[in-house]
Amino acid sequence: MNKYFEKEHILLVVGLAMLAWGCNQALFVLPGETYMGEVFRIFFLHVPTAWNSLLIGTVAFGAALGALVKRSRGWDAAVEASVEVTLVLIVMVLIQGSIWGHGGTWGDPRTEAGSTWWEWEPRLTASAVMALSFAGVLSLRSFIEQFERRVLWTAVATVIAYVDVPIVYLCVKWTDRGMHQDHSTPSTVSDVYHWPLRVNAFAVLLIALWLIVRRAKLTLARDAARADQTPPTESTTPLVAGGA
Amino acid sequence: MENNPTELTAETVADGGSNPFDGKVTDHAMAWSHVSAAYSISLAILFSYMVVVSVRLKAARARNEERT
Repeated sequence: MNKYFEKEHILLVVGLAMLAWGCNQALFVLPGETYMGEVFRIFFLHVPTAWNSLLIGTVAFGAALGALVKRSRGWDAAVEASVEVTLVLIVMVLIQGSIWGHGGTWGDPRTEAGSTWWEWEPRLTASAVMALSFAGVLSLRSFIEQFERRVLWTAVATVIAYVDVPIVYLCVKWTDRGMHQDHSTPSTVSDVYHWPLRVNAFAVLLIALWLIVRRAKLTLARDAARADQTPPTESTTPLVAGGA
Repeated sequence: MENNPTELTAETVADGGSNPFDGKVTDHAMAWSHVSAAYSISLAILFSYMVVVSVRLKAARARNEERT
């Protein structure tokens, strides 16, 4: 591999190719949904993005546990990267969902909602809380200079923020579903929609993994620069012979 | 155009009513404007973030190389 082609770029190339195929199917090949019509095509980007926001949020949780145990720069970089990618994905989900909600689920007897940008229903509210929680982790982290404290506080805040992730996933089972349908599975989605949905889900996953690797490398590069600038502390000052 | 849940547009009438639910149909042009907005904004956010991360990583590496 030369310096311009790092291994993670394979994830990006395959992910973009899959996303191009999936979006082409979603926008130009597949039929619209029976009740929602054309606006349903948002589903093929919205659901994969939502799945991956929860999955990458879980990666952030795992990385936070690793950071709590190891307290190393590598784990810390993984936490920051996965939290930031989760935030980007959940913001995309909220925007897509808002446009879909306004585009109209009218005429759809399976939902109670009409045309609206926002509804304080369980999954939307939990998703908004998730976005704020992950933004809060990054905000908290930016205020802490000392490495040991930054690792600890970021990891603890990430574990706390993660509590909302299972709630986002399961609230359609626990409570009134509001604007959302039950979990999208092969039994709740027509056969013709399965493959484009799966391909887009893996496409977003591969792109998200590429982003995590690149973002973690950015954190490590910044840490290296910061370490070069920091004067040696008492504990790292070498012992010098020659005293009285 | 204001979306009216009870309106049958010319397009849907010509289609013979593509939505079978009780005459409540969405306007196709309005629906497509929402679909294109959702895809455009999402992909713009995603690609912008990819570019920002790549540019910042390149700059950080360049600074580290200068220093060493």
